[in-house]
Amino acid sequence: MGNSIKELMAIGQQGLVAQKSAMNVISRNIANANTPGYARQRLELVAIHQPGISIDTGALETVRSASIQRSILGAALSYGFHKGKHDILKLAAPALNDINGGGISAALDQFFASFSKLGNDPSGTAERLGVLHSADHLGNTLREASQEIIKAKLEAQFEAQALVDEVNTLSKKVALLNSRITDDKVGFPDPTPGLKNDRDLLLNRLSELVGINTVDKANGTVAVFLETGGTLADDTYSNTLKLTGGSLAALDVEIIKKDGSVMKPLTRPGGRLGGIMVARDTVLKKTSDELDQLAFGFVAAMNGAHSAGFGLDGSTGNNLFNPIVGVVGAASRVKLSDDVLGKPEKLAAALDPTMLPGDNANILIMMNLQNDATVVAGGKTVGEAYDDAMSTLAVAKWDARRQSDDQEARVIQFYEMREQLSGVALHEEMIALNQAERAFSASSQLIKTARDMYDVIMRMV
Amino acid sequence: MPLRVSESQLYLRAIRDNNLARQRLRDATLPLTTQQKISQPSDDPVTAARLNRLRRARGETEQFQEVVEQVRTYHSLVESTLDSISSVVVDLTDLAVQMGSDGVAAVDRTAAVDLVQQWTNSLKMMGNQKQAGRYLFAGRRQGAPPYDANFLFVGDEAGRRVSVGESRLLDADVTGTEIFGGGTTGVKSLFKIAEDFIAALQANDSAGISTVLGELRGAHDRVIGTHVRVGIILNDIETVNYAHDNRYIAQTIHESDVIGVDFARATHELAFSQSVLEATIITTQRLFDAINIRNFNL
Repeated sequence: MGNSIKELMAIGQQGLVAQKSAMNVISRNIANANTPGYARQRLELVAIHQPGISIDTGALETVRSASIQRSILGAALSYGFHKGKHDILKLAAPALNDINGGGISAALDQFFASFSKLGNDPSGTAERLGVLHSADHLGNTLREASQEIIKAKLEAQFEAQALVDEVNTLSKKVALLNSRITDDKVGFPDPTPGLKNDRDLLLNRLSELVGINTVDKANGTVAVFLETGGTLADDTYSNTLKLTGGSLAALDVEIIKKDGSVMKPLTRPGGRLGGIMVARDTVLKKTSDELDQLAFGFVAAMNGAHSAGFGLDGSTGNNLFNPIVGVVGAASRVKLSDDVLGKPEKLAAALDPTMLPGDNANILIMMNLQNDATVVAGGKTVGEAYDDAMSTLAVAKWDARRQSDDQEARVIQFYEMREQLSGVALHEEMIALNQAERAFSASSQLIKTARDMYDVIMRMV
Repeated sequence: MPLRVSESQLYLRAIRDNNLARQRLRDATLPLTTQQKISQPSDDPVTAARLNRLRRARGETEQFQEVVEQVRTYHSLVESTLDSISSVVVDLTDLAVQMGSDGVAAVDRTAAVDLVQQWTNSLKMMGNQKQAGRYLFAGRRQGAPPYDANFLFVGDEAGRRVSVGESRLLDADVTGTEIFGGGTTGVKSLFKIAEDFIAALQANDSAGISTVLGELRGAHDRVIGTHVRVGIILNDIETVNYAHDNRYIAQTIHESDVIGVDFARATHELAFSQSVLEATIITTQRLFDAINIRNFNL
């Protein structure tokens, strides 16, 4: 032991500095206890066995797990996909909801029921007005349902564009954080772990939005790729994701590289953006195609039968609905024909003009269309075709919700794993704070004692 | 080694548990307020599709029931009219028997003319009978009287058929010629027979009255035959209606099974979810009290 009192004071000072550093870390943990994505830090104190030195602050460790982070990214991707799909499908769901007694199914029933009444009294004005009203109602219901699906598809396009914009902003932020991480390597408190926390949060969100893979690089940066191919960010630069298609065409994306060249991912992206695209271009398209087939077949069959019959005024060749050319968008064009609009006498209940007004033979033919499996393409009755359209949407939405719930549970589980490892537990920090505070007090007492000893010696001189 | 529980974990879990408990309570109230197991097709797509099929089938049954009811009303009216027609024809026949005897004086026969004329008018009135704006025996030409000024049939002899079941049609009309003859039936009409009866009485023509008597008996048989046919149709309607009623009940019960709420179960679920929410709230309060950082008086 050399200059013992001076050494004693130095050790005390080192103890003060070390405990103060520990308290800095603890206080930062406490301050960030509720900060999303924050990973707690731990300061390692190292005993040093050299004359005049007793303790040093070791590495500042951020407690995190790369494997848990990767699991979060994977789960966020699946969750985002199903959530995005469900969020769009739920917008269209009311269009084909008959559970409470309304909707297309009820309108079809009402339509054929009104024909049944007219069949029993083909000259009845009330019965004729009833048919016109129910036909008009059916047309309105089909058009409204079609419009709701179109609106949901439009909303999907807006949402997809907003997500692409957000993805581009996030990619830029990741590149910026990469840049700061490479620049900022020294100093205490080391900001790098904080930057990585921020970057993890961005990556989680990116994966939920679009589905990504990441590669951690030796210099601390991360490269971000679309799961389906293509770079979003690498080192300090980012590329731009661009939404293409829309309107009647399917949505797609392409990547505009920093040199201006365009790269097309192998398939549509994952995450919320992918879910929205599937909802729009697969499920809603199939639903509206089925609804269009129904409307097209139904209108053609009804008009075919109706125009062959005779109205109360002896007129013939009148359409019940406006003729529809082409299947695409047929459901949005079902409308009562001008031939009969406001003209109940034009309703062609009769097949034999000499047997007016009581002939109902044409009504029987039109009523039979209700159960005619040749009315809708694919060998379906009108009711079956509607059930198919409703089921397409309902099953897809049911599945999206179930999967979304399952995947959300997975995400939560991984977040909990992350929290268990990286989250701040205040009781731990309070104990650690107490521990550091006591050590700090003891160190100061050590200095005081050394000084007292030094005073004693000085008085002896 | 015990698991670490971070602050965020505690609070996020508390929020999630409370949300889940509230959602469960909301889900439990829905069936009771809507009285339906599901409120949208995506709750259970299979049930929704089954419900659509059931409601469609029930809708068709309702259509048929309504048509059957209207056909029954019509045929019941026809049946009572046929009773009246039959009664008049019997009276005419009795009178023809009475007046056909050689011993009846010409003056008595002339006196009977007014009576026959009254009965004939009554028959004519029934031939052009109108009910709810529809001529009963005009067939499909229901908007105009089936008999013209000369009481020749100008209505429709075929009549209308209506659908009262899947692939099942019923005659919805009884036409004038079916009851009164004439038209294309090749049988002298009852009105012409009555007029011939008047002419024979006025001419004091015993042979003519005897011919009329034969024709009246034939006309009566015709009315009886129609009566029987209407009776058969009414019986048929009863059978069809019975089947529809049974089908409607079965379909309603089936629909109730598919969509209806099991109240005992729903009430239990509601009570249980209320308890869960209360327990969650209390647990959360206690948890927050327990982890209050002020307790760390170290």
